[in-house]
Amino acid sequence: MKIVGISACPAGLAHTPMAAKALEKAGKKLGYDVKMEQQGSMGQVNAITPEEAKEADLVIIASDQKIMDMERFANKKVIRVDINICIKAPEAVLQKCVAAVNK
Amino acid sequence: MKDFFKEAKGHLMTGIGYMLPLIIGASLVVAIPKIIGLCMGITSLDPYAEGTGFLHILKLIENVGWTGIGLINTVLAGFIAYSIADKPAIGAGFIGGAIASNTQAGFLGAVIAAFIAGYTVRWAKKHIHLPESMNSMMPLVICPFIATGLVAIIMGAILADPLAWINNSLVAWLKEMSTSGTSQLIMAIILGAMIASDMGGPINKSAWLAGNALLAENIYQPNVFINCAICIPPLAYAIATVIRKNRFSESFREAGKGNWVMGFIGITEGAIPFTLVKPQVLVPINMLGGAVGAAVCSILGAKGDIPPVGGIYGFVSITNGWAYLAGIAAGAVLIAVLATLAVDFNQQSEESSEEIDMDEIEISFEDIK
Repeated sequence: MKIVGISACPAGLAHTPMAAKALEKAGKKLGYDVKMEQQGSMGQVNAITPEEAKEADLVIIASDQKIMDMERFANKKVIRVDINICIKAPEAVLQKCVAAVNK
Repeated sequence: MKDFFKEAKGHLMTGIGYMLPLIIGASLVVAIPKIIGLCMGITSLDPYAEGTGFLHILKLIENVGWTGIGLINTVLAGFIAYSIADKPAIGAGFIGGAIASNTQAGFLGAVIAAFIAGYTVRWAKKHIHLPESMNSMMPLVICPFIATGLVAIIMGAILADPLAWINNSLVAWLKEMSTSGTSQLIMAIILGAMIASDMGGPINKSAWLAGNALLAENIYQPNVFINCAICIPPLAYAIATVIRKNRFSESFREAGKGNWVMGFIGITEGAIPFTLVKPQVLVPINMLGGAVGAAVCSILGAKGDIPPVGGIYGFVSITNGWAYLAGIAAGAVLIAVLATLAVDFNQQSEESSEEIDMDEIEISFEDIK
């Protein structure tokens, strides 16, 4: 399963990379191919390319904020989830999202 | 309705996210000439507005910073509107924010103007349908025109006076509170405890949001306490890993090094992994440290005369910067001592991801056109 996603928080310093790393790590453990883009204070870091967006089975947006370039994910299954919970329980978040998509 | 507020908060946060770099850049450009002036024994550069010479140049540079600070409402409103309805809303948002500054409708006015601009554009995109051939008119002409027109009518004519009155009363009350001794101390204690409570969670963010909102109103004092308290928890655990090495496992000692940096630039989240070892004990200790640090800051007389910059180096932007540093040090040392007395960090973290119930995780699907 290919999962891409974007994390973003207001100041863009701490939660953004923490959530991205947590989800990527959890993905590795669960056997999903997870790539997270960070939209923090540095702008876009580790950006999802249009090709990667096209191949993804699932898009996770770990933020309640404005995300740039959402057009990439047109016609994709896009899930929004709270960024804090992604840091606390990344594996559970991935499992829940995957289950929701497979339903 | 609940969804609307949740969404509105997201837009507000986005606006503040874009506003922060502006404030930080502008404040430092105000602060540095002031400090150079202070080093030369001059407390205010205002008398050098006219004339020539080095001090006049410093004053000119300081003025540029103030221009930036004057843009806060404008930028805030512009990017809230952008967050709601993308490019076509930005212009109306900027205009609304600038009008809010001009009519003294302030932060409140800027936010209202931004929501008018944003939601008008969103409404227009959905409900106004033009013939195919004229489609390009929508984002370029129709949406900006309707949104700006509505902002002009509501913010310029109808709400200008009432909002200015509300805003001015509010500002007067908050200014009073942040200048007088006892109420300022209480404010410091509450903000300090809130910031250090859940480190980046909802309580911390509400205090932080309030502080940043007040920056747009030229009320800088609360942010002095907030910035002070933000540095305390990560710095505290960095200090703790050095003074009580044997209480920490190898990986925590490693994390402690990172916390020096987190403390220095002001990221409370650095303390999270430490706090999670025994939150029921460490959260109260953190809150106590944040409150005491901010209180020390207040008692020793750290003052925000220009928008304060976060992090330990932020002391340059604070009048009596040493008091700010003393507050941070006091809070951090207090936590470092109490935390290592109460908790042995060699044990494993109690909270793991398994403990979170799947049902607690809220997810929602989103449609991308």
